[in-house]
Amino acid sequence: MKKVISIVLSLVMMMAIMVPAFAETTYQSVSQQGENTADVVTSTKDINGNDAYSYTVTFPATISVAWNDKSAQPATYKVESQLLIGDSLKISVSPVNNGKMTATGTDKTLTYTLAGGGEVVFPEVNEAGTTAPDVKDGTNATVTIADFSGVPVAAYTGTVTYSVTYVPAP
Amino acid sequence: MKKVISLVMAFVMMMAIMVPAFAVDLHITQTGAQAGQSTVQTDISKITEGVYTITYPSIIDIEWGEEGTATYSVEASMKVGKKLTVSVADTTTQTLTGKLAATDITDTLDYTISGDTTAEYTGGMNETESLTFTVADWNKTVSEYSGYVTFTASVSDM
Repeated sequence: MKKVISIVLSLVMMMAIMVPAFAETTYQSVSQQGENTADVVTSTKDINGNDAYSYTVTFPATISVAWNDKSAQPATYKVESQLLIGDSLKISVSPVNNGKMTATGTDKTLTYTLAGGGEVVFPEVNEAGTTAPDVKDGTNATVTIADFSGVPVAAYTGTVTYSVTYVPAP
Repeated sequence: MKKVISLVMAFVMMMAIMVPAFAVDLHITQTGAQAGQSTVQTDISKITEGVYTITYPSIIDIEWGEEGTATYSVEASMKVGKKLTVSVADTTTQTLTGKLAATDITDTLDYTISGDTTAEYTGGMNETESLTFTVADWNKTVSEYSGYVTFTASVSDM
């Protein structure tokens, strides 16, 4: 009985010295001449372990219109992105409260109209300054005040909304 | 007792050979909508009191023996707290009465301006004003008599 227990204990101790194999690196051995390849593979995470895909949409904080300037003012947004394969961005621009602009000290209002704000789908990769797919530094959205008459001169303000939707690959 | 200790040690050593299992991070894809807002704002930094346009006739014709009429229009957008005043007067006398002179004779015709000779505008307004020119006495040599009127615009606080 003692011999049996001793043998069992010995086997157990032999198994205990086995080191767990962590699967970070697998090595191959070359034993003959010739070309041998190793795969180079990128991860979708950065060096800190965070998801590497990202996007930035930049738009003006304020769109200033000189009094009585009835020309179209740029309200351009720009996209920079590196997304996962098949993912995309949908971006649109819309007026708040139908473009109504109000001012302190008067109940009169101005109205701006927005052009070029329809939904645009951007692909995975867009270099800095992209204003439309494959277009850089163009103009996509504009704001126009067509009529300044019948209201007192004042600093009227209105709001434009920029909407961004991240769409994963189907 | 020794056997019990041996069995316990054997069990402990068996547990030591278990390979630790590392937790797998979940890959979270950022979805959904985000929105940002921009302010559209009128720039009035170059406007001190307001903007206005006064349109008036270059020549006011008076038919012989009749009253003459004329209109002028004012389109104004004044800053809050400011008012525009437009007034009309004979250029020489700076009043609502004056004289029309002829080039070939020494006779003159006295006339009076009436109607919207002074008007005030605040905020945003677009108005048309009317003037009447009345000659007091037509019993003069018939000729072409003329004079000048001045339209004056001034801005003041309300």
